[in-house]
Amino acid sequence: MRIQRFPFRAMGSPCALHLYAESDARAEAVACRAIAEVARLEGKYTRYRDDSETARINRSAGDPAGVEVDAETAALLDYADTSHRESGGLFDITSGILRRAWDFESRRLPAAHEIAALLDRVGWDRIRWERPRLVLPLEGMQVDFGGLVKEYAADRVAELCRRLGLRHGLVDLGGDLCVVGPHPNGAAWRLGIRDPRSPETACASVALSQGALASSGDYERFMIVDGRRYGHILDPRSGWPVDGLASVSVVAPHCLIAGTASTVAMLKGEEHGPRWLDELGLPSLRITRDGVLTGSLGEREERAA
Amino acid sequence: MSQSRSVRRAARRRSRRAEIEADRRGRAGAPGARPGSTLAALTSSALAFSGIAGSAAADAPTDRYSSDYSFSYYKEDSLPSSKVAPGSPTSRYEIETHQFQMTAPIFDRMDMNVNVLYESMSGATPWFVEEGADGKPVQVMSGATVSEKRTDAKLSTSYYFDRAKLTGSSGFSIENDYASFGGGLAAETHFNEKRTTLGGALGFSIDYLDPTDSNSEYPTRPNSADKQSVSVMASLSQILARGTAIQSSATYQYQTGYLSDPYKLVSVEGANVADSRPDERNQFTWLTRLRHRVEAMNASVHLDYRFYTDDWKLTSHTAELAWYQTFFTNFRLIPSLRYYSQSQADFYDTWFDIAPADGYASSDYRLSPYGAISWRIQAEYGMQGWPGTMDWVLSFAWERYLSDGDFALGKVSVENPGLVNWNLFSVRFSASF
Amino acid sequence: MRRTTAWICVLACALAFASGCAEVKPWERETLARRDMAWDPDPLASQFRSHIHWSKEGSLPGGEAGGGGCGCN
Repeated sequence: MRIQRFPFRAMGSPCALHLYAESDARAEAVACRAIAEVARLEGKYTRYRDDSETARINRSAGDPAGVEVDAETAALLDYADTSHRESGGLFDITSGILRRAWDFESRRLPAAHEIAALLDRVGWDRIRWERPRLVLPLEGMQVDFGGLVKEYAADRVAELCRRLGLRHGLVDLGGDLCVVGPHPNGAAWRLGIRDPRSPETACASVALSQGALASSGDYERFMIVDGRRYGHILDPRSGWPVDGLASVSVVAPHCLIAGTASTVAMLKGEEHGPRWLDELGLPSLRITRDGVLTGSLGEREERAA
Repeated sequence: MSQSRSVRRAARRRSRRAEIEADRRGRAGAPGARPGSTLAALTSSALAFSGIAGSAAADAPTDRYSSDYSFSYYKEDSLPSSKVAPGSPTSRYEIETHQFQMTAPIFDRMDMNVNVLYESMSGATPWFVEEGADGKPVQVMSGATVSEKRTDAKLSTSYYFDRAKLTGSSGFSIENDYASFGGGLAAETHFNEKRTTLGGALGFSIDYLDPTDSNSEYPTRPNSADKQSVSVMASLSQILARGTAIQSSATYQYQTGYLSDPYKLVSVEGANVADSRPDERNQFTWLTRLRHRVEAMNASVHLDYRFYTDDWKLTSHTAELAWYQTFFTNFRLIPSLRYYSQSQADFYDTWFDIAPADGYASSDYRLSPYGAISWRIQAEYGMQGWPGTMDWVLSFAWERYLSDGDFALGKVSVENPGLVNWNLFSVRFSASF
Repeated sequence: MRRTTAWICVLACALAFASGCAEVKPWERETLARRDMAWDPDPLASQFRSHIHWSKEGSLPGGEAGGGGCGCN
């Protein structure tokens, strides 16, 4: 049984499937179905297309009748609702519109009234969600599944591979990883965690034979104004960037949970994030802006002196 | 230089440990720290998705349409001539059955199941037992080669709450001399992060008998008769480990009305009289099932044990063992063995030299003491798809059943000559989409 | 003899239940969700066999309540 790698691009990121199957044809057949499933989810939940489910939901903002959603979207909304509650309101799928106030190219801080106007349209508490009906009461409100779909897709694809009979493999959707099964000899997958200060190299490695690994990072987009650093992860309650960690990686049985945990930990910031993660009970790795690594997860790579 | 080598060695050691740690945690969460309520809340929310948790969310209505069709051929062995009265036919029953079933989601939290059966039965049946030439009992079979058709239909609907499920069902079975109507209500609820399931059910059935040829030819047969039954069941299931689950259920049934067999006679004081059984029966069954995964062999083992007893003094034990062996993902072979042993009803005998005081008498082999051994082999081939494509399975099975007084757990001094052996062949096609 | 058998069974079950509250996380369900681990992987076959056993033997199938009968001989 040999390993086959299927790279592709989806959800704005480089993705790859690493699969072991009895034959190349089998691996290809499974990979085809898997990539099609990712494409389906991307098409359904993208905010960049008018014909997506997200666009349909957002068009109904301000309509008191709301929209009826299907079982899959309902499950995502239920999950978003649970995450909102368990994170103390930090995980909020209506907070997407806040990014409009922040232009990282311009190096200009938004005015208070700009943020305030957007904040009026933000808040999962304002949403009326009664399965299967979703009501966005105010015009201009939006839901954004971006923080969920990639991880959900990773879980779906891993499960698809298992259902189609594969017992060994790894699903990588832009850094959100879900294990189908360990290497045929039982060995675990060695996964690297990006170094925020030099994202092409890994600063730690994790060995996983089961489960999923997801990471959140704040080093991709940011701006420095008057000596202060403003990252792109925004607190939905204030509309301002969190003063936080550079990256968080979490291991969990499902990618969805790993993803939510890493996102919430980032939102809780440098002070409260690590403590919340430890209470959560999942293995994690936290990297501060200064490059300090904490957390029980992973083996730190030797750094050249 | 030397320092970096020892550092590297230490790093390798740490690396091994970290690998094992991360591996174990990836599986079960951080050691020592109990998963908090946050994790539990997120997890159960994540499990609600069908298609990411290996359909572990058994508590949601089906999201697929599934249908099954099966054809079965059942043939009883002819009786050996030593067990049959001279002049009596030796061949027995033959049944051809068609079954169809369909499950579909309906509305948001409901699904339904329809099950239809159509069968045609023909052959001779045991009529009465008499003393043979050497003093041993022999069976007299009914001369009639009956050919009957039976239709059976059942409809059930389930409603899923967050942690519970309610199912209502009703059905009927109709043939030319018998009609049965019944229904039931079942409920199920989960505890303990869905590791424990508690179930309960209530059921009833009303049957009408219209025995054929009841007037002139067979005056002992009633013109028409009826019987009713109610039953109640409680069950408990527990997940013991990742690949092991156990379920135990207790059922009580009460029957009243005409419980005798209108087509059978029994020899009492030398004359053949109508089979006569009490008009009430209290029955109790205790069934325990174990399912265990043998990952190393890509197989699962099923073990079932059933204990039965009733106030007719009939007690039985049943044990069934099945091995589900999967090959190459799509192919499965399932050999299984079943052992059954029953004691006799207290009004049973091959014949009665003295009339029983309470008037109850029967020589029906189904109330006699005996044991039965059967083996079965099933082969399945199927393809499993994904929503939008079809899953299907084609299955073939053969079962051989043998019954004998010597197979019983207790000592059987006189075996009923009408004990039956049979073969069952069946083929099934299932599809879901 | 009957009573002893019954008691052994009760004890075995109790032990199974007691030892059995092992750490199986809800997410470790994939194995249990397999069709070949189901209580009843082939409902049509088990229904049919159960019916034959009930018609040709003296006992009730158990594990369910209600449902009708037939005049099977």
